[in-house]
Amino acid sequence: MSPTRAIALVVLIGAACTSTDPVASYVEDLQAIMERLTDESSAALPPGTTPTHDAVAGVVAARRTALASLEATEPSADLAPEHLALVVVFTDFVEAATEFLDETASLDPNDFREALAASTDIDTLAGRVSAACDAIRSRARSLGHTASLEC
Amino acid sequence: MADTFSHTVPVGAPAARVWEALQDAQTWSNIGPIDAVWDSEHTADGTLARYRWSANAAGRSWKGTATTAEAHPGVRMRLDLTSSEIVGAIAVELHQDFITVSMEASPRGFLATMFWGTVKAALESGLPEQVEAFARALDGG
Repeated sequence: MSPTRAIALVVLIGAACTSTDPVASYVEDLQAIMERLTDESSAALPPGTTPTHDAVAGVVAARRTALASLEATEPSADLAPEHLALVVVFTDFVEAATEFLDETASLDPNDFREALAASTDIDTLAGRVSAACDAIRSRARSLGHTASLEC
Repeated sequence: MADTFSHTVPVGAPAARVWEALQDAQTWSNIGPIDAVWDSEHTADGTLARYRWSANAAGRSWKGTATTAEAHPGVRMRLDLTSSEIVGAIAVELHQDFITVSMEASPRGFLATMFWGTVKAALESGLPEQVEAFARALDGG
């Protein structure tokens, strides 16, 4: 193989390894955002640890960061409606979580843990976030892409 | 709104044997995320009525109660699952050559909602292998 052909082959392989498909690119971006959210949430409140107000605030901060990333993400045209729906419900979720933190800021640790257990108003919002993610997965699948989203 | 997952597997065991196994609370420790069961209770005719369970997914654990909501011998059995942080149901439908296990789950409370994405993914990815293992055990594998 001539040097020119070898270089052309390397360029072609490199291009093939980089997602230029807008749907694939969007799915990769979304997966990265959700993976980071999982990592940061677990770092803020590791499994088995007692949930303090500061630790839970760290978890909510991770959600706020994820929301900012979602808002900055440009969806492919095929997934724009589903992306917008996720951003809307994710915003509601973060706002409700922030409101809860504000309302419980002055509680002592025991009362805070009781408030956590009693707070079920946010359950519906979590269901809507989950449904919005499922809608993206379903739409991506119909477009030939598999999205593994932890959301 | 609950998240739902299901998996279907072929089974060689007759439906009557599968049904009998489902009345043993320990059987349910091999289906879905449940990893231990105890304090089981049965009705007078031997139908499993309830048991307590613990489950692990995505590094988090729960303890809860399962209560039989439907029991149609040889056809379908469904148990409602409740705990402080997760609620749902698990059902087994029996057919001549296969069974379908379905699971519904949703978070309860602030903390569960915050980690639901991870837990949901773990439940969904884990169910197929758990159901396959259950079917192998029924077939004596």
